[in-house]
Amino acid sequence: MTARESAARQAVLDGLWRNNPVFRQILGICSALAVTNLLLNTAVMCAALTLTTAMSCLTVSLLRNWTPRRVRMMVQVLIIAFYVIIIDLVLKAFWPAMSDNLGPYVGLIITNCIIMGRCEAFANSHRPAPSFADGAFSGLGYSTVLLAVAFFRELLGMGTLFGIAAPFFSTAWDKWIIMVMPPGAFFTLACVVWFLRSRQAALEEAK
Amino acid sequence: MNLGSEVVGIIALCFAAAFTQNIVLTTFLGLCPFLSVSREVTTAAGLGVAVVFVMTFTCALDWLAYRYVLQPLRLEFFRFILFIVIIAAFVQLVEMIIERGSVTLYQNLGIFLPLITVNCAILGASLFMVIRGYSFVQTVAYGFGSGCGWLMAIVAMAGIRRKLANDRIPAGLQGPGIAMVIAGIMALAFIGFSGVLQGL
Amino acid sequence: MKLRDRTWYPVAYMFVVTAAFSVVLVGFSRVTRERVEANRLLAFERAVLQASSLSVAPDASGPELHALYARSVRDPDAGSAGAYRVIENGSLRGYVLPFEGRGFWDVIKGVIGLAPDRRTITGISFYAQRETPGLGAEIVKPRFRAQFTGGKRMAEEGEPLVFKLENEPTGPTEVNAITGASQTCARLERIVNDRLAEWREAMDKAESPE
Repeated sequence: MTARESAARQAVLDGLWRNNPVFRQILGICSALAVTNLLLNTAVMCAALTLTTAMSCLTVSLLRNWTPRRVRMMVQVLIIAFYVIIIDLVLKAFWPAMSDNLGPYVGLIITNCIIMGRCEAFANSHRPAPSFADGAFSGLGYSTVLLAVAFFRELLGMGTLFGIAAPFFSTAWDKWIIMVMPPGAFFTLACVVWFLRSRQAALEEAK
Repeated sequence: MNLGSEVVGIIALCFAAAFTQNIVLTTFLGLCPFLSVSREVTTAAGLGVAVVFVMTFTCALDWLAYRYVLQPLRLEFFRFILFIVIIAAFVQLVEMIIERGSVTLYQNLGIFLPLITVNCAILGASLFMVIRGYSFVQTVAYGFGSGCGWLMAIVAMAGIRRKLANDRIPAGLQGPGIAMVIAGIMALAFIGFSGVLQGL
Repeated sequence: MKLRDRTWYPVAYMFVVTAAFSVVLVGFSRVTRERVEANRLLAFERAVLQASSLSVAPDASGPELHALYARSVRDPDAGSAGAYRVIENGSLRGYVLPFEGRGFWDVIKGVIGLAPDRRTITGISFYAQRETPGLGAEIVKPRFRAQFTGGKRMAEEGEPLVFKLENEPTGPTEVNAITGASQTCARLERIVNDRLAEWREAMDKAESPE
């Protein structure tokens, strides 16, 4: 690989990983945005994401002393896929309506960059208990962002929260249909990112 | 169903995959590279073309694997793992071929290929194809259309971001924030295509 | 040299790990498979019962619905052109016609119930759809479906049912669509009308020799 190629590759990889945690969080949740038009669906998706991250980190950590370096990535993908398939099968069997709502997005948890990132960066070199905690807290971290987006989308777009009519928003409010459709997800996420980023900058300035 | 209406159906499917149900702007797949590789039009175009190529072929390969391996063995749930393996292997193979074949092609396209393996749009397209139960020809049309839709979206995004490069953007919105706003406006524009396929 | 660094080790490791996980997954899949099939069947049976003129308690349990279906619904036969017959106390209570087609996002599958006169509609119900929640997916809600139980009829000629805009007055062969779900409703109109027209023609031809 020439210097130019490796520089290009590095520049692109930098764009993916070197940026601050909020950006990394945003990248990780990209495909989960599709279900954020309803809080209930989002809550189930977040539970699936958190469970997968925590259990995958735990399993990677348990196996870390036996896994050869060369197949590390493949084993991680296999472990993540294992938990995702189990969750998918359980949903299909015990909550088919929700499984239909979430569609292929449960399966796409496998390609979620954050889970791979946590397994690679933390679980590989730490003991099981801390790895599990790290996975769980990462999961809760981006669950918060997703739930925030879903909160605004369902409230402003349909006037309900978790399917229950909200006091002002289901009666007098003229529902914003755009929130129910994909552009609404992008705009809401942009606002949430703006808020988080500004908070982060303010905190850093205060230091 | 006569041949004429079948062909129209395939074209309509391809069109829908590229426009009305654009894979990144309506189904949110492939957002990671969409946001991070969309600063320059040439890089974006390179990645986009690579995605079209990989998506079309892997959708086809995944359809064959699902139909002739997984379904007969009643192992449909294995598709998550098998598809990822097929995608990774295919990308590896193509990278090797390009590296040996043409230096310029490798420099323009080849360096993006490893990135494609983690692009959720590729896996997502195959998963959608399974859910919707497309035939082989429909799958190829769907894969090709989705890839082209992704290419269009990322090139447009790169062009717009290039234009905005010198504008004053609030600190909190710089980077991913403004990219999301642009994506939202683009998604709005693409919704305008919905009525085109009425009756098809 | 540590065990990990032997050349054959990575291959053996991958093999063992993949085998172990696969065994668990296959076992899990077998266990849940029956439930998945049962769920799918129940969804269809519930839809058929809701679309018919039989009264179904909203909180009826799975086994109750299944028993009611087994008692009252007969599979399509040569004389019913693809529709299920609904029997109560030995006499024909109506027909239930399944339909399916491409909605806005994905395939919509449902059933529409008809009275023994083969024209009056007794109800409509869906058992598979993936339309936009809050917009196209509202077709499964009582607000939309209730229209079909109020004595609507298929037209004798031409389009069996016409979908009009929300809040427009409707005649006996017309129903209101949902605002904001024009794509889903347009496609549903097409799917339902094609199926109804096809069935109307087939049944008229079958009954006319009498």
